[in-house]
Amino acid sequence: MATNILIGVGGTGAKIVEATLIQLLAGNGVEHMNDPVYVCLVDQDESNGNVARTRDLLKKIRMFQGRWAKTQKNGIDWSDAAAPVFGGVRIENLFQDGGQANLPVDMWKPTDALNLHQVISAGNLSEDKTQLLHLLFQNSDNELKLDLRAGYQGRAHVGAAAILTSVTDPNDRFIKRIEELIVGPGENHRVNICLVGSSFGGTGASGFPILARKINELRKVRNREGLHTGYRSNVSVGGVLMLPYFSFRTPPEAERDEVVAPEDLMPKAQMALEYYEDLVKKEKPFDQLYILGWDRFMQFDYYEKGNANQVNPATLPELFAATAVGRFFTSPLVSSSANTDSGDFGRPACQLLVSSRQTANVGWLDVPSPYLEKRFGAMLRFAGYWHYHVAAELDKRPGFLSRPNWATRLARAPKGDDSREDLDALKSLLSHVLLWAATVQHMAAKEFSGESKLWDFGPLINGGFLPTPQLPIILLDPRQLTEQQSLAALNFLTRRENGSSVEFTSAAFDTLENMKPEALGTQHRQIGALLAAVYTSVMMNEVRS
Amino acid sequence: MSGKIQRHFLATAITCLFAAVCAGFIWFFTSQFTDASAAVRANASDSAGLGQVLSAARTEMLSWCFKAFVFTWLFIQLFIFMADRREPSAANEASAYQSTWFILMFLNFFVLAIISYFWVPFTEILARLAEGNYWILLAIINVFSLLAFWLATGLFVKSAMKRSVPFADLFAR
Repeated sequence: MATNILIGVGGTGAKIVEATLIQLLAGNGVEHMNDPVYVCLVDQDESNGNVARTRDLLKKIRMFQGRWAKTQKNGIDWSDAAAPVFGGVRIENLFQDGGQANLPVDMWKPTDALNLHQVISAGNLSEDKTQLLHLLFQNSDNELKLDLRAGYQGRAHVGAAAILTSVTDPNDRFIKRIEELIVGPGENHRVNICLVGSSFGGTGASGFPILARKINELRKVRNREGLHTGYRSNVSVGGVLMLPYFSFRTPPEAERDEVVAPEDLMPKAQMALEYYEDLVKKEKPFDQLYILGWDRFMQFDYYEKGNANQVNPATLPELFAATAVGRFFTSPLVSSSANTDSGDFGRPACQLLVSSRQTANVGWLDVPSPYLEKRFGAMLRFAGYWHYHVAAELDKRPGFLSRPNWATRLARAPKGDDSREDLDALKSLLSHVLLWAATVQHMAAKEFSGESKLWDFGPLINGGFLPTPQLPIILLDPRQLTEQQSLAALNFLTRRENGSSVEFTSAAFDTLENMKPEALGTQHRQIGALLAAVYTSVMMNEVRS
Repeated sequence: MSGKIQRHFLATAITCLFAAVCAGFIWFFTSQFTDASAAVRANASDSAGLGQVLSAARTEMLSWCFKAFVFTWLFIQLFIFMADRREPSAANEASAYQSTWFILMFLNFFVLAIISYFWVPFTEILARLAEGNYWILLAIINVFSLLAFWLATGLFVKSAMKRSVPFADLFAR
């Protein structure tokens, strides 16, 4: 057993968490299926669109796992060896409740202050400290009064000061919760903490190293005198750091001095890397640190300072980052005797991995995850099949002298049963997953020539939709397609490693039509049994091929 | 034995069963002296002669029955073979194949009519057999061949194609 903690810092961090959640939903990325993953987003800008979208996904997953839990009416017993891996990884909010202030359970906002001036109580500082403050903050009045409600707006040094102030407070709820999860389960229980974020933004660039250092501090073992004597051997700290991989429109002239411009991204990343080089050499806060970049930048054709309108479309690099998270969570705990350098207390040297791509397009073989094609592909087929076909089959009533169709038979629902809310929770989750994957494909298509080698939503994309930079595509509603059209589209949805389509609908129909309800066992209930059967039908096909 | 071969084999068994039932009816309707036509009964000198006439009529009827079921069997096997090659993705796709089933059934019926016309010596049989018995056997053989076609295809077409046979859901597990 292990406890996994995933912390997304900033907008890019939130997007990596979104990709990781989708990967976890597919059953990838944890050592054992019943290892819980605690998720937390860190952002000063609570309304940030990227953060909001990930929180929305997290809520949908939690809703799905709650409504379809083993004890529920349509429950799935995920502990069963033959249960579908889809949705089997337990996702938890980092915080159990929001406390008296009713704070968000999936998010930590470093400070409630309106600006840095308030955070550090600049008005109460002594003369020499005030001078030091003006020395550190070049354009001190602007930066000290920067409205933090829109985040740190690319000013990592402002964010660093604000976040550092929060994490040094021993009563801060984030620090207390991490400490609780590290210490609580005992020395024999493994705890993996993974931080994800960017090296070039505001919140990510400032929060990522500070939180890594703080967490590293929390896992230190101290003697009675408070002296550092070693590290908790059961706690691993990982990091996934994104170098610039997207670009955006140049900010308007009036805002140029306040925010990061596209041309600032690389110099900022270079500075960040120099800092991290120093950090991993000297302080070694990470057991594993993954640094990812992308050769040609994804183009987001808009600029937003922050807030709800800053919603960047999902992109392929985030999926790569998610595989790094999965790799960290599933890596064996490295023996603490690997490095005995003085001052390391037997901790191993940091591991730096670099990934690169040689071909002009991205296929499954380029994605560094052993089960990704099988499980991710199965999840997409399952999601598409359920959304565009199974849901409608469940609503069909048998004709004259006909037995109920396979969906109704396998669902084993008693007459008059209303599972609308459960089905809506599933539908909402699947829609999110499908749109995410379709957007990744759409954004990749701008960069790569030729057809997608991972998945292809082509006929399912709503061509009549007026795209916006934040929402470049939407998918067709199942009611807008005939059964024949949707089934044909689903047969081209996922690709194999060799690029050929996985035509699965007839094999799935054959499996489901032949399946006897009693063969599903009693571990899954009603529509939960159908879900397991449908997942098996799309998975089996992949295994067969 | 693979599922496909098994289904073809079982469909053959069902056809044979129906053919055997028909043969039983033929035997039943040609076994009594009263089954012979009035002319035969009037002209027969003894019971042995009457028995020979009925036996000849029975042979003719059994031969016809055999030919009818051989062709029915061929159509059954053809439908199961064709349906096996289909890979429907939904029940509607299987249902759409009902048109093929009906075409084959009518072809089967048409072929039965043709072989009856060309291969069955009606006048000779009618001369030997009571008219009522003849028409009953004619109806039984035709109805049972078509019933065999429906039942064998409905039972032994592959599961995903069950809906290509009308009311085959009645046989579903």
